[in-house]
Amino acid sequence: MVVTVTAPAPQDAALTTGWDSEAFVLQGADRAELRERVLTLANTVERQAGISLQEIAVRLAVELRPGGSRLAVVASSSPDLVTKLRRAADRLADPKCKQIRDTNGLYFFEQPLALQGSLALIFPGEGAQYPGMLADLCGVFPEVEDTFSWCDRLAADAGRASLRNILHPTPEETVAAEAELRKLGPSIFGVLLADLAVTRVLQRLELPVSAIAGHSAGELAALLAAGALDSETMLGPSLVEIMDLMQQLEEEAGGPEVALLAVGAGRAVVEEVTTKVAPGVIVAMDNCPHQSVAVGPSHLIAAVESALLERGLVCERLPFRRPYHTPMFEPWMGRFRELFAGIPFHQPHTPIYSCSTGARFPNDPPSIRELTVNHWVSPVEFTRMIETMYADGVRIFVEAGPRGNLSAFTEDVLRGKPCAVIPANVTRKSGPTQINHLVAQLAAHHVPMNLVNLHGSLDLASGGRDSPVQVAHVENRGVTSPARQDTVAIMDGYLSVMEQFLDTQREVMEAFLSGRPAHVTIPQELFAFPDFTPQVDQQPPTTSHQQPPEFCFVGDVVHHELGREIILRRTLDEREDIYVDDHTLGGRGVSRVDPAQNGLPVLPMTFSLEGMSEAATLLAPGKVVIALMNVRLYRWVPYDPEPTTFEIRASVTSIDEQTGVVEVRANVRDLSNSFLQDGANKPSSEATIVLADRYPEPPEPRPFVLTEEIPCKATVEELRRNMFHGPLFQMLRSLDRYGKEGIEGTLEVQGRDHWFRSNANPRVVIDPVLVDAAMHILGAWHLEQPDWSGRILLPIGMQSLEFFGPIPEIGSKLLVRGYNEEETARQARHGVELFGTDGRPWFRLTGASYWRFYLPFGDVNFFGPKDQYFLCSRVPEAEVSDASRCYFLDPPLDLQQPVLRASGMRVTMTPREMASFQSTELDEAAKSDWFFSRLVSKDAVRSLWNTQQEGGTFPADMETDVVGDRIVCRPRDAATTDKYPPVATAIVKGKVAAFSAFAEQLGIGMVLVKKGDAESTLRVEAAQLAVADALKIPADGWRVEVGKKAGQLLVTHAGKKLRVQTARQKDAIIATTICEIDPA
Amino acid sequence: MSRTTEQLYADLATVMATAFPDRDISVTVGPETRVFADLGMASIELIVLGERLEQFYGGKLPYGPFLAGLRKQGAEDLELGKLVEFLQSHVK
Repeated sequence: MVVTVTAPAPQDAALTTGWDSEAFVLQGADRAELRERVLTLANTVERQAGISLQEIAVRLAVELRPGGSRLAVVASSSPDLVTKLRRAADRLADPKCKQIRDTNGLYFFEQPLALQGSLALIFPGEGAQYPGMLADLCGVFPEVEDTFSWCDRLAADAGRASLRNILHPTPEETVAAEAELRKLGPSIFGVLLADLAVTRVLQRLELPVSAIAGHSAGELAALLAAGALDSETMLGPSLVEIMDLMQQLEEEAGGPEVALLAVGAGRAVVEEVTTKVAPGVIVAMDNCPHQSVAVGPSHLIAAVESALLERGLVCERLPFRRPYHTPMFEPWMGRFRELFAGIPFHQPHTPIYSCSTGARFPNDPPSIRELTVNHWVSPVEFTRMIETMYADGVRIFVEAGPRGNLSAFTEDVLRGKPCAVIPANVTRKSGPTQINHLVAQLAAHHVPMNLVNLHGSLDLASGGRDSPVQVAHVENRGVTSPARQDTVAIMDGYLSVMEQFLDTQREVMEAFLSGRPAHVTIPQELFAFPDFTPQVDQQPPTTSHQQPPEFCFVGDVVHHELGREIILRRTLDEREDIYVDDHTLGGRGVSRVDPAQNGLPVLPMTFSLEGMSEAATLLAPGKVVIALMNVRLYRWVPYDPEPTTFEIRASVTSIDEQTGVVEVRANVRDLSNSFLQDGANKPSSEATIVLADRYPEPPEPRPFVLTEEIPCKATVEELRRNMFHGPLFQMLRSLDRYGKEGIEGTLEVQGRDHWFRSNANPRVVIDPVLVDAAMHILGAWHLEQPDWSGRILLPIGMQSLEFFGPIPEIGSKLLVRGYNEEETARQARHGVELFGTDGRPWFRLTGASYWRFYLPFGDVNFFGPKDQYFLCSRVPEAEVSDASRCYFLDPPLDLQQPVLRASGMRVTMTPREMASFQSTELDEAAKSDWFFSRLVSKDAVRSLWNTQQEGGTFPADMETDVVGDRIVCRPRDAATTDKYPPVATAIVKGKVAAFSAFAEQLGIGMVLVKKGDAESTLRVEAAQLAVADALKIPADGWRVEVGKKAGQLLVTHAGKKLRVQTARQKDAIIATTICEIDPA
Repeated sequence: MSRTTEQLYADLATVMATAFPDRDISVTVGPETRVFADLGMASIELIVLGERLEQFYGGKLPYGPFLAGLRKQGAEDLELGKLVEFLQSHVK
């Protein structure tokens, strides 16, 4: 940075209606000649008052040729230009001056970046919008005006107000527009429009774009620009639909519980705090080392914010409640996926990078679609993506959208590295001036472009700003072609060199990893890790597309660059992976008719860890896995009735040449499943795997002091009944002592011969079943707690899992301890230590976070036996007599997630019901209604039936059907429906009530209470609905009066007063009747 | 003893030159110079600047609360004079 003399102060952004500055690009054969020209021009402008700056700019543009030495100046007046030229001349005279980057408009680079790397466009998403964005470009570039006019037309076609009213408000409307623009729908749509407008301006320049990427919703613009999205389909009603849907999703998804916190620090710092304070908080946006956005429940965010502020960090609560880019958004994704399913995708003509994976998008359209849609539930990995692009050779980033946020992020990510990051628009400069700054910097970096076309935005028909410009433009239209060809040749050469370099480096890495010398002699400075030589493995070098190794979880090796990255795929097939029969979400033994019916088989978390560990071991053969760090679990991977494909991706992130420690970042996913449809192809979990030449020495055990220590009350058998794991995972042998701080027991290491049907001796890295089984000690700790509310615990992550030796022998009896690290209303955090036969820790798990589920089942254990439990809430106040039952369910969001809903179905529905569900085409909301209406009906009928019978009835042993418009229940696989009492069911906005009674005529009505409603009026309405339901006639304005019993109403129909019982359940009024006539 | 205003401006110039070595500034820098509008910095760079100032002075500064205070006041930019005032209060 050089601080020098006064120059005219830059202009603040103000709405202008035309060009308020010019970009001048001067060129010389070398620096000396360039300086001469700079001085000549300064003198000329100084001498000739009134000289046309536009003419100068265009003439210079026309003269521009590749190569040489360049200076670019942005100036708004002749004095401004002269001042800057003279300053530049002074700087150029100084041989120490390697570059000039003066944001007031002076640019020179001795080593231009266009000769060192490629150029990428990056598109901002929501957050970049501001009222009035690009308004001052509308009068300069017809294509910008055209883009916003299109918005007007689209709105007119849809019969609604144009978004442009908000985007370009009058001064009086600005405050209101700002608030409106913060909403998700308008912000996404608005920024997309602005991105497209800027893209069209850039197209005019014919920039050599070699890569494209977007941030969050900016990916849509990136996909359009790269040709992956069909603009004709996309830029029409679909866009309006997406905007509406996003807005709707925001309104539904946000809740008082969700908060977003922008932090002036990178992910690592924030995660360090969240791990300690609130592991449930997710870094939803990793923007750069000095900005990330954390999302989580408000109370946890408050804790994180407080901890970060204590560290002196800058934090700011964002004024919205969108849990997008986190798994918390998953319940709302169904409609979004449906919408995108109808939008065609294409193979892109330019490589696109994904802000979900930080890597390149795949090329095939279905995969692009999946990744695009899933971006909404995946964290924004902007830092990683920019690092990848840089590693791939991008050196110049042009932000093709409003505000310039991404440029700041990118500069921060690449701080200290040679790069140019240039926004096309900023809030503090006028639109045309910032375009000039963009052009000036690109030109100074020798980016080939059609500068003359920029000036073509002048109104040439009327002679433009000055008539000589028109002449210059027309006469020199063809000048850009040679420049572009030359640059292509240069780029080809560059790429060729890069490929050779990469090939060489790859070969060297392989050589080092396999212990053989490299074939080629290359300079030492190209060795990324010169001392990294494995100590143990002497196997022949691994090559791409090798045969699958013997690890049990490795299927096909899709891609393998030794020491760099690997992609593995294997089939998830319930028939082969028989271990999964013992890992069924929802519980076990859910039917008396079919004792083998269990919950939904899901891949155990520890098998995902095993898969990642195996991939890491293949990347660094000869090394052992000593730890898995920062494990994140995003979703379940369910087993489908039909085989699905499971993918493991892993890449080496660091190698410590001193210690030989290798770190591998890995993730796993299934590429499809019937529950999430195209939503499956996103990481289900990820972790960093740490490998070393040998295991570290076992540490001292963690302090284990149990206050008020007592022997465990629960038995191993009780624990087994309360978990959803089958015999393979049941290794605990005793539960010995417990206290507030933890619990202690023993386990026995079991054999691995029954995990797979065709592999009786699976080779493993971490023994996933043993690790899983050791964690059961934590379930035992919870079993000892007096309060069972929120004790349905499912893992969401772990801080670290460390190993201190090889897997213990089968048959070993080991001490296991569980630690209670922290318990909050929504999460529990634990640790586990499993001790080897020598009494020293074999593995240590810390910071294992579990989400506490509060399913509305009272004391019911979701994983326990279901014949005695009723999954919904009974509403006795709505029952007309003891010989009737009324149940209600407001399905919690947890249970509406496709996989959890599927697991609920597996334990409460019969196979015929499940087949019927699978074969019916329904949207997500209708699927929930289908399932929950049957579930509640079964509960009402079972509850009433049990008053007449000994013993309970499993929901899965009761089958429902729809006769007329009513659900009827019958015994599983029975033809008759007359065994069980009838049931009436009501569904309103997802809430379900069911009423069963031994009666010929029965009916139910339900209405929801809204703020300000008179409850008495709603009870009357519900009562009329119940009578109408019972009599199977439309509700009418029947007379209603209050009965003698509390909550009782009398509905007069056909001269008779029919009794109806009403009750309020949360925000619902439920009315039931068996059409008893009131004698009074 | 506290550092003088002149020393603090000199410190600031040193820190900024180190933190953003590839930038040139052609405006006259003084108390009224605005970091965004005049120096062309981005808000993230203000965070970086704070970090580098802490490194330069070898200790924590209440920089986060300082920026939060500015935000609460509705300030749209930061004048170097204010930053120097802040440093004067917290740098020994």
